Parts: sequence; C-alpha cells; structure tokens
Amino acid sequence: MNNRNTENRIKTAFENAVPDVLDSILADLPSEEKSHTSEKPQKWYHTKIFRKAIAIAATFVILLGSLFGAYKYHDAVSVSSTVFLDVNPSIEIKVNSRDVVLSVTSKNADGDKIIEGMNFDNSNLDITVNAIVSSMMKHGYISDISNSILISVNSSDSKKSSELRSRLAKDVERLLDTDSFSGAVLSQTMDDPSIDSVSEKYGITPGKAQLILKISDSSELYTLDDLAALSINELCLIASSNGINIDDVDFSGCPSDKAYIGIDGAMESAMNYANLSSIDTENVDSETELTLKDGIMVYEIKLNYSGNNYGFTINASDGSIVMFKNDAAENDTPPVPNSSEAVTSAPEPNADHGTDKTTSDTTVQNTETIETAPTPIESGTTDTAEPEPTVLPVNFTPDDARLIASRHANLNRNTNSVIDLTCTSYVDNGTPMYKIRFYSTNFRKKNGVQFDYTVNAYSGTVISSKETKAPYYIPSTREVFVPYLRSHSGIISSYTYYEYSGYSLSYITSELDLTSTPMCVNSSNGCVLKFDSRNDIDTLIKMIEDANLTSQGMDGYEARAFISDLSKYDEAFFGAKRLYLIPVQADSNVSDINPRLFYDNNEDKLILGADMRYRKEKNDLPVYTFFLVEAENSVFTQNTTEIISYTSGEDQDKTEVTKKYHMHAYLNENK
Amino acid sequence: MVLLSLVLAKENSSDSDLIDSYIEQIAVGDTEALGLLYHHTKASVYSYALSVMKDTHDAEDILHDCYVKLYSAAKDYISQGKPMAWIITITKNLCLKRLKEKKNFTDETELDPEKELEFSADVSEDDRILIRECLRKLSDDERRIVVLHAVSGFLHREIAEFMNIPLSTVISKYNRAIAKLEKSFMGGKV
Repeated sequence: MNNRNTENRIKTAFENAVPDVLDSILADLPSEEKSHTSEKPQKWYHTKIFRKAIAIAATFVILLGSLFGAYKYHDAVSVSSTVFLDVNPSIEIKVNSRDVVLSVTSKNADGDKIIEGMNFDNSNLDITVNAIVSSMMKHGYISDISNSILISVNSSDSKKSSELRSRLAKDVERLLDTDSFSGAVLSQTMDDPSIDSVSEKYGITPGKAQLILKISDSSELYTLDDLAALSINELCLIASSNGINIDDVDFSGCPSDKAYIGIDGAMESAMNYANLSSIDTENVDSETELTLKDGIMVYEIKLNYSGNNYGFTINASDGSIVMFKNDAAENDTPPVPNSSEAVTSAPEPNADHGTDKTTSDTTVQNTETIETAPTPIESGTTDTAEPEPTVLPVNFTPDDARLIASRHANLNRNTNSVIDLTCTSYVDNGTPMYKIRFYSTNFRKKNGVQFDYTVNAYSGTVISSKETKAPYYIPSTREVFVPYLRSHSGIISSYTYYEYSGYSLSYITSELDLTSTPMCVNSSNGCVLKFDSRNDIDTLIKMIEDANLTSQGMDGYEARAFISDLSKYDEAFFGAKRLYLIPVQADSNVSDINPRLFYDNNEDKLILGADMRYRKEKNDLPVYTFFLVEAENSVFTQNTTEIISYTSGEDQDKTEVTKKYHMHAYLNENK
Repeated sequence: MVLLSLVLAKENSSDSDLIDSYIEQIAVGDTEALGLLYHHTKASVYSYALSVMKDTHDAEDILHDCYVKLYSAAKDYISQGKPMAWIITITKNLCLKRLKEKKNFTDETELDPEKELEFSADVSEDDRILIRECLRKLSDDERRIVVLHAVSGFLHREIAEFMNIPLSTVISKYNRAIAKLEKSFMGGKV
C-alpha cells in the first residue's frame, strides 16, 4: 500500500538527517566512571562484559557438576513455551523446552467441553494439539460453517516461538483439510507485553487479545468491545471483508461464511425490499461488504440503479433489513417503495416534537432530524405470537418522506428546485410521523414557496400539506447566489458547488492546497446552516484572513477556530441576517476552547458559550478562538462576555491545574 | 564460551529486550553500551525532537542532551517492556523545557523558516524536501504521530497512550497526515 512506501520514505529521510553527536555526548558525560572509547565500538573480546564473563565462566565450571542434576530437573518442569488455541473454545497449553506438555487449561466454558475427560500429562505437544483440534471438530466448533482457528505461541526464545508456530500451523492445516471442508488457520507469535490487561478485561486468551488489538490498530471501524465477543471465524471475515491487513499474523485458507445468507442472499433481500426484484442484478452497479454493526454481523449494500443510490444494512444471519436509505437522483424521479396518496383534509397534527434527548443543560430548541435507522422490518411471517407494539414501526426514513412529500407537491426533486429546511419526527397516538419543511426554487412551477408536510412514517401516506409564499428568496442560480452571499458574509470564495441539502460554499486556496471547508449557507439571509471545520483549520484561518477582518485586531498571531455541530441549530440560525466574527481572547495557558451555541427559547436569544481548559504548563502560542455567529437584527460586541462560573481541579499526578470556564456571551439587541 | 552464547542470545532477542540490556549496562557505567544504544535509537530521538522543535539546531542539542541525561538516569530505570517509550519521554521533557526557555528569552518575531532547517551537506535534497514538507504541511499532533509511527515504530495504541489522546484520533490524524504528504509528493492540485 502507498502508506508503507510513504512511511519508509519518511523513516529513511529522518534516519539520513540525524547528525552524529556521539563524541560530544561521551565528552559531556559525568566524570565518575566514564571509560575511554574510540569512535568505533571495540572488539567484543576487549569489552568489560567479556572480562567479567571469564570470571563467571571459571566459577561456573567448578559448580557445573553439582548443578547439572538440579538443572535437568528444573528444565523438565519449567514452562518454556505457551500455546493458545482459539476458535470459540479457548485452550492454553504449557510445555517445557522439549515440547512435553506440562498443563492444558480451558479458558472458557466451550473449552471445558473440549478437554473434558482427556489426560495430556507428559504428552507430546503435537499430539496434544492434534487431539484438541480433533475434539473441536467432533463437537462441531470447527466445521464447514465456522472453520477458523487461531494458534498463538509465546516463548522466551523468539526463534523457538517462530518454529513452533510454523510447525503447529502446518499440522493443523493438514488436520483441517477434510473431504467436507478446509480450515482457515491463523498463527502468530506473542510479542506484545500490553495484551495482559486486554486479556483480563475481556476474559479472553492473550492470543485472541493480541489479534483483536492488531485488528483494532489497523482500522478505526471497530473497537475492542466490538471485537472481543466475536469468534475467530467472525474476526477473519471482518478483516478480509474490510481489507484489513493484520501485521505478523500468518493466514492460510478461507474463513467460512456459510453461517450467513451470503452476498447473493443479501442482495435478494435488498431487491425485494426496494421492489426491485424484477431487475437484472448483473446490470446494477453495487458494492457489498460483510461487517459488524452494533454487535451483529450485517451485509452493507450500496447500489445504484436508474440514477438512484440505495443503501441497505441487512442482518447477515436472517436477511432482515436493519436500515434502508434512498438518495434522490439528480435528474430522474426515483422510485418510491410505496405510492403516496394525497390526503388534503386531515387536520393539523399535534405539534409535539419527537422524543429526542436533549444534549445540554440549557434549553435547546428541539429540531433534530432523526438520523438513526428505522426499526427493522420483519421479512416474512413469524409463527410466534408476539404482543402488539404500542408504537408502530417506522418503515420510511426521513429521505423517503421527503420524496413522498415533494412528489405530492408535484415537484421534481432536483437540487436546484427543492431545498430541504427541516425534518422532525414525533409520535401521534402510536403512529410515527414526520413534519417536513422544504423550499422550492423551481421558477416554472412554484418559485419561492415554502412547503409544510406531515407524512405518516409507518404507511408513507401524506397526512397534511400546506404551501406558503416564502418570506425569503433563495436564488436558483449560482451566479445570483454567490455575490449575494459575499455581500452578506464578506467571505471570499474561489470555488463553489451545490449539495443536495442546500447551497454549499467550498473554499480552496491555491497556496495551501488543502481540501475544502464546506459551509452550507442560506443564501437569502447569509445564515450558516452547516459548517464543518474538523478537517480544515488552516483553510478557515486563511479564509478569515482573506475576509480582511483585521478591524478587530487579529493580525499577527496563530488562530484556531472551532464550530461545534452547527447543524443542530439550523432553526436558530434560520432567518439570521449576518455573519459576524467574534474573537475570544484567551490567556496563553488556555487551550481546548469548545464553543457551544444555544438558542434560548425563553429569552429568544442566541447565546454563545464556551468551555475552556486551562493548564499550568502550556507552552503553545496564545490561542484565540473565532466564532461565526449569526443573529437577526443583532450586533455582537466583545464587551458582553463575562465568566459565569468556573470549576477547578488539581491532578496531583499530572502536576497541572485544570479549570473549566463557562462563558456566556449575550447578544445585544442593537443593530 | 558461556559469555559468547549469552551475547549471541542477546543479539537474537527482541528489540525491546536489546534496548533494555543496553540500559542495564549503561546503568553500571558502560559507555560502549551507550554508544550502541545511541546508534540504535538516534533516529527515533532526533525525529521526535525535530517534530516538536521544528529547528535542526535545537533538535541536535536535544539529541545530545537526551543521551547525557539517559546515562545518569539509567540506574533508576525499571524495565516495563517499553524502553523506547522511556527514551522518548526523556526527549519530550527536554523539548518542553527548551520551548519554555525559548519563549522566555526570544522575542516574538517570526523565525526565518529556511534558517530553522539547516541540514548537513550529506543530507540529500529529496530528504530535505520531505522533512520540510512534514514540518510545514502537518499540524503539531500529526507530525508527532507520523514520526512516532513511521520512524520509531510505535503502534497507534502506544502513541495514543503516550500523547494522552484517543486511539481513534490518532488513527484519523495519522491517515490524514499521510494523505497530505502523499499529495505533496505527487505535486497534487485540487
């Protein structure tokens, strides 16, 4: 992979750049027992070590005879190597230097069954491994459904470790090469001293602990919590399916996926669900991956058909749909799983919002869109009688509901025609509902109209709809939009593109040549709808500098900006008039400023808060934080900041004082 | 003969064990062991120091100071199987001390970036360019993570523990840093 090449280049460059300062090091050592050295290391027979050893050797010879017998006994009973066998059952085998078995211990309940009634005392290691693996096959733990085994060897002698690992792996491969299936054999030597804590925490062998540590190190997709509960077969499937390269683990054979419905089965499930079973899958552009999600093995399928992008998450064991997503096409109207029926005379639904959690202790206007998967739909009938659910399941995602609503409004869901504003979920007498608002810019049909829809999230039917002439204007073309945006925000852009959810502005500077910082802005009023600065602090800094906001005295120092999850506060920003840049000067020992923007319903104000972490020994340059804040008819002044409260704690071990400041900045009502 | 087999056994042991054995010898005043340790670990120490100080002169001083300090501290070293972490911690503390001193005694004027990176004549142009790119294109954290992983061979998990940041942050910063550098090497444009 390219990473390896780049890593090697970096390593080589730094190695070549190291200056040679050994002489000056030796010259500056404390004078007590410094011994003179030449530029090159001396011959081994001139070393102190060797002289000492001659003395030791002489003593050793004298004692040799009397110690010999004791040594032989000690050698026979001391553990030279430990071998771990993991499948689902886990077994530990300890052997002496001659590979004679000293003990065989089961490490879990499944392992108990495997070795029950077997006596391995003084047996040979190879025979013991053979017997244990055969017992695993006999009990069905290794079969064509689940065929993977992990062999881990720990020895103080690394050469011996390697040799044992290789030999045992070959033996087990031969054993698992049967008429009905072939096994997948992983083998490794143990080289990580930190695995003991992981092994103890999860109650797994050090061998398995080392494997899951390696997988977790190589991919940020999975945590140790996810991986510890899986069998070796499942771990292999995940690693191979996600292209995870596990360093220093030998691998032979193929892990079995016969416990699952398979890619074909998953695809069939997906096509049935989306009413696409009649199409020829050969002509469909698709990607499938077997992975782990929330502790269960699932197939994730992405497919593109007729310009539409579909995403499915399917339970790998039984084929049930866990999640379904359908993105609108750019040009064509996508198919919708259920046809929408217009209901024009239904009363306005209850205005209760969904039952989402509040995430802070100040009042937050709850306008979060449901992002999580709908509850799984049972495919096929079940025989077991289950009690009626008190709330009907959600069969349609927010995206589905938006499609249904815009079709009802007779709008082509083109990115230039429809701009999504809000989508909230709630439950009305046991029925899940969506409340959707969007705007249309389609000049042929309904330009400048705001649509409010209520859609039944269980049946997909439209409950109510309302059209209002919008009190704002969103330009339909980029040429109109960009200058309009610039005049509001003062931000200079060199590149723009549009996203499905609205208008996005991306900034790329030729000098820094970094990826862009997309900012989603309401073009009629300049308010920021979405901003993601996680990956692009440098671009933001450049953008701020380009915007020439020097009147507030920000030249000449390093700046870092954080905007924390503005998308939660869409509603708060909607209707705002202006972007402001507010500097919050921190003293030189403050770092980790995390701003939080709150919309205070009671006071009808936008409130800016921040948590700042203070450290005694901070050597970075002074840190300043900039916030982009919008407020309707408001002007933010620096003098309105005040520290509301702070807490402090002292960590004796780290010799630093941590203080957290809560700082609220209230926006004045003056223009 | 016995010693020869012992020495050979040492040569065959893992890297951590080897470094531990050097430190053991240094603890009793063996400067040859210090020399061997220096040759074995100098790239890791220097690259880390340079990633923090961003100045070759400072990094060279810290390289020197690290081994002088290590020589005195070796007698108090207790092996926990991670000698490189101990050595890099010494390096890190020297860097912090140096940064503090610089802050107190230098003014705020911008340093000439070219002057900060003076290499000896035998360092190739390619290597200089690459190191400069590391220092310029990467953030402080990204740079440190990259050198600890690529040069010193630290695992991401070990880096997370050393830098006291989450493992997922280490992995994502590392991947991002490598992507930036690769783009740089390819002379990429947007």
